[in-house]
Amino acid sequence: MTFLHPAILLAGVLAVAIPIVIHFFMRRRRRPIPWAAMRFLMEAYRKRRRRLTLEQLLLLAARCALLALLGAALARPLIGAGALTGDNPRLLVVLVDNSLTARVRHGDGSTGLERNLAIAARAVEALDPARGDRAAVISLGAPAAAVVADPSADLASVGRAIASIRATDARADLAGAADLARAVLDAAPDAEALVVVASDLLAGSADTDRALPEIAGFERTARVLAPDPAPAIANTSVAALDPARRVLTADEAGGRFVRVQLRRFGAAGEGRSEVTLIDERDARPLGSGQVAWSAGELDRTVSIPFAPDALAAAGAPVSIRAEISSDALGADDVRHASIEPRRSIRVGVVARSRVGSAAGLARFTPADWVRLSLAPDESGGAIEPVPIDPVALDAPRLAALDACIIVDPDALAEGAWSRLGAFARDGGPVIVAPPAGAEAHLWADAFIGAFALPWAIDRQAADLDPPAPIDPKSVPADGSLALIAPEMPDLARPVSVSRLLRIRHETPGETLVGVELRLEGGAPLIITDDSGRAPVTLIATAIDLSWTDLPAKPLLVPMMQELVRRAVGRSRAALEHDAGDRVLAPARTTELVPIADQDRAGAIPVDNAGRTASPVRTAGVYRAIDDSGSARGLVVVNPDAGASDTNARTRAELEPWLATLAPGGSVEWIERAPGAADQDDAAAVAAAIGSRDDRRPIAPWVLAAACAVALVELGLARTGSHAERSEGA
Amino acid sequence: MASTEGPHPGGTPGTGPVRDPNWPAVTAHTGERPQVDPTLYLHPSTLARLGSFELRAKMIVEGVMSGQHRSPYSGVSIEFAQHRPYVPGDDPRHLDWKVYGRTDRLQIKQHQQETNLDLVVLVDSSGSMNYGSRDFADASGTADKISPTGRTNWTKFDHATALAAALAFITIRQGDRVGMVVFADQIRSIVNRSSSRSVWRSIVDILSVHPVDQPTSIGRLFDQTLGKVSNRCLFALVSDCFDDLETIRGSLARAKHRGHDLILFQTLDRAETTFEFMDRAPFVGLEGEPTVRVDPRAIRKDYLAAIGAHNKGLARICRSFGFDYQLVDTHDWLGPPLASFVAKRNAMMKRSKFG
Repeated sequence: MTFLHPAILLAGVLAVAIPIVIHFFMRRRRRPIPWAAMRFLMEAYRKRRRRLTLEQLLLLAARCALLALLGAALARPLIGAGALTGDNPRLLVVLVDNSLTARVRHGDGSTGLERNLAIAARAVEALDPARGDRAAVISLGAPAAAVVADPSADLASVGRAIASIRATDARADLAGAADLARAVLDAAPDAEALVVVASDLLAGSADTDRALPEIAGFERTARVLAPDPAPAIANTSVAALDPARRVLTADEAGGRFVRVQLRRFGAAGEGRSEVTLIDERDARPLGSGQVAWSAGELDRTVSIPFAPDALAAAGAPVSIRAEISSDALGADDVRHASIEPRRSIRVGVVARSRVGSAAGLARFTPADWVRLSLAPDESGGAIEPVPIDPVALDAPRLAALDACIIVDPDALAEGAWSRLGAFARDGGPVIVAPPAGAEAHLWADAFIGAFALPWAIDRQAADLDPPAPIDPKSVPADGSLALIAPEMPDLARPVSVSRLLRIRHETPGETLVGVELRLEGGAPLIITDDSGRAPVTLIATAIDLSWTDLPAKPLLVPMMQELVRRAVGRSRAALEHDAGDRVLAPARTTELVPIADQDRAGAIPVDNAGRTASPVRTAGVYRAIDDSGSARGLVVVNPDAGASDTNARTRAELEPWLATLAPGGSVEWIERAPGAADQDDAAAVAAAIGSRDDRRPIAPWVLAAACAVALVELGLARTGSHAERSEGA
Repeated sequence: MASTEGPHPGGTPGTGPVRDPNWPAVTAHTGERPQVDPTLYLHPSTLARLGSFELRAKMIVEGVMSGQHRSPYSGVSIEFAQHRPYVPGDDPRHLDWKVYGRTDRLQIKQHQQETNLDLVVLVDSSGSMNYGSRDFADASGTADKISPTGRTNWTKFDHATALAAALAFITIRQGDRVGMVVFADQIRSIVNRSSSRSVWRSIVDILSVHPVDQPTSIGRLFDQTLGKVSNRCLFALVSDCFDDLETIRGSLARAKHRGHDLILFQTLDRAETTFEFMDRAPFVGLEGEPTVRVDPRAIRKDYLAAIGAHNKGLARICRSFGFDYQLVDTHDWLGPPLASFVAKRNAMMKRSKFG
């Protein structure tokens, strides 16, 4: 026996506790009666005790049974095997797995997608147009899409639509497909619902940890048919490609390497993988690395250096790729990234012009310290500081910058904050430090408002007595200062901070996210908000000797250099996506064009918010083109690493997971003989589609039983009340 | 009334409460506690109605003063009793010469000696007597809402108090002596016999504040009481008699054997005889019995059968010894049933050959 709505059955079973609870509750709240003639009462009670106990138990059992039966009746029980059927027209919804996982090539040479398409086609062919059968098709490559949204009786057209489905590099979105399928089924409430999941159901496609929504409504059930899950297939994927620097300046020496992460699925014996780093402009190898796998090892990361001048001459963003030798799932053997070689990085330093002069260290303003830290070599280096007066901070000047550092934020007008906000939204990193001479830091409100930051900043600086040292262990592994983290203990030791602005989360009790560096005691010294296209960083102390001795210490130079370089790099990393996302393009981009598509036939439009109008399901490198046809940069779309999992799922794992699609329905497996040809699959699918289900609803019978029990309960209650006997006595 | 203490109800005349040493001392007339108004228990109209009745002992009782009751001691008296054949040694002055003249046979003429009546009221103060479903104000002669001990209900013990006072009132009015024994598992208090007119007030004083919380033992009551009474008396047992019938039978048999007369007033609350409870509830015993959770409607029939059988058994036992039995309902006014009982008793005495 199965139930259409097991949750209601569970509620009914739980409701059984109600009469029991009432029984004990009423027993407690009755007032005792002092009684003298106890000898006669006890004599009468002893005589009747067994019968009374039996009456009570029967009454309680009847009430419990009544509730349980009502719950069972409402849960719509079905008896027999299979699903409801008859001569009603059938509505078949085929979910075709065209995810990255479906690109896997099986031992017989066929790919998962080919199999899935064959099963889908066979399922549609098994329908009977004369009976009024119709079919709809949904592809699973994330996000799921309706290939045939309106159920069609033109089965030939449906077959052609199935044949047109192409593989994607996204993961399978079965949950999204279930939502679409429900909408299809809801539009045809009288049809017998059939759902075929045409998928190998490998782990990459079947994320059993993710709950599936119901495709059948309250008054409906559905048969879910799926092919036998495929066995595991050995696969190695390039799971990540992470350049140390995404903006590479000419003098950059330490950042000329990439980290490549490899993962293995299926059989994981000893072996060797060779990773090659390639410049995609001319397919020239930039470097290579080797991974020697030990048995059972599943995950390794390798760093691959490349020659200092390899990308120097580019002058524009360059796409690189890391690839390994092709295996059963070739699509995930390649991963792309972009690196932007630059002669220098232009950083605006917004500060008031200095008036007057001083001697010694006092002659240096915060802007001087920043400029010195960014360009310690007077002859010119990779970072080019550009002094900007706060009143002259206009859009054209900002457009010529890669990043902007504000050391006199109190000098900015409201319009300047708006322009800085637009600059950040276009991908320009902003770094702000408080002014040294301000008593009240009212600028903080405009700062938070311009960048929509989730912070609360004190308007009064806090004096630290004694000055607090920097906590060198507070550098996070993925933070902007990660590259200098090993040297941080030596660099931070001589530095102390005597004044700083306290920063908290805007919601009391919430933890601040993005703290790059803290003082001893935990106060944030540098914090970054990375939620937009470009990071926004606040240094909580002024770059001034009256606040901290940091300007006169060696830490300032690497700290400012890393903050700028990583901030610029992060703004470029925002242009790398997984397949299946609506891709964020560089500012003012109107369309994305695959890099190899010279005639723009595959151009993807970009909306005003900077995202593609539709999800990009195919991995590759795309050129961002503005409305004038000029290139705005590169956008990289990589295969979804989560879909590379080619481990096998068992029926035991899959059945309860798929069953959540159709509560009360059935999950039936399309038996696939080992080494079976397509024709055998077709026969199996046709048999499964055409099979009849003898299950019948028995809710009326259960309801009748509940009524009978209710009558028995009434009788028992009347007998148990002893009303007649009392009146006659 | 004198207040000399004496544990012997049949001892020298004089009254005064005698209490168990374990109980708090209560002295009726020492001024240690205020006297209770007897009309709290006996309505003046009830007293007026009872005034026209006389309580006569059905059996011959022996007394210490001449009165209106027959004496078992045949001898010189003004009331003829019977003839018996003359035997040598008899006083020839007692020969009935008229019979000799008519029948030529020597017969000795015997006479009844008239004596006074000693009434001993045995009042049950066991815990079961503490039950009452009637409002105190409804039953009280003064319409007080609470009893001297602070209760708001009229218990069987209250009704027994009223009954004991009524019996004492009647007895004293006809010049006889009355005493009282309060008992539970044993004798708890004693009022010595006296013909003083205030003794019934003393009875009310004691009973109105007497503790009512011990188990019942009628067997032990008679063991102790009969050991203290040397002359034949009329016992008035006022109790719910929630004790074993065999124990009661044995006790009454001993009283009968000792030549005493007895009237059993079985005092029950109406709720005990009708058992018209509707809701399931835990019933808590007043004498330490375990609590019973039961639907009263389910066991009402069996309960009524059990208590009915017990009451019938009591009546049968009383009849077997020639004692009188009267069921007293605490919801009824005391006057009418008591008057009816006295009238019935007098009528029976008149019908008897000794009446």
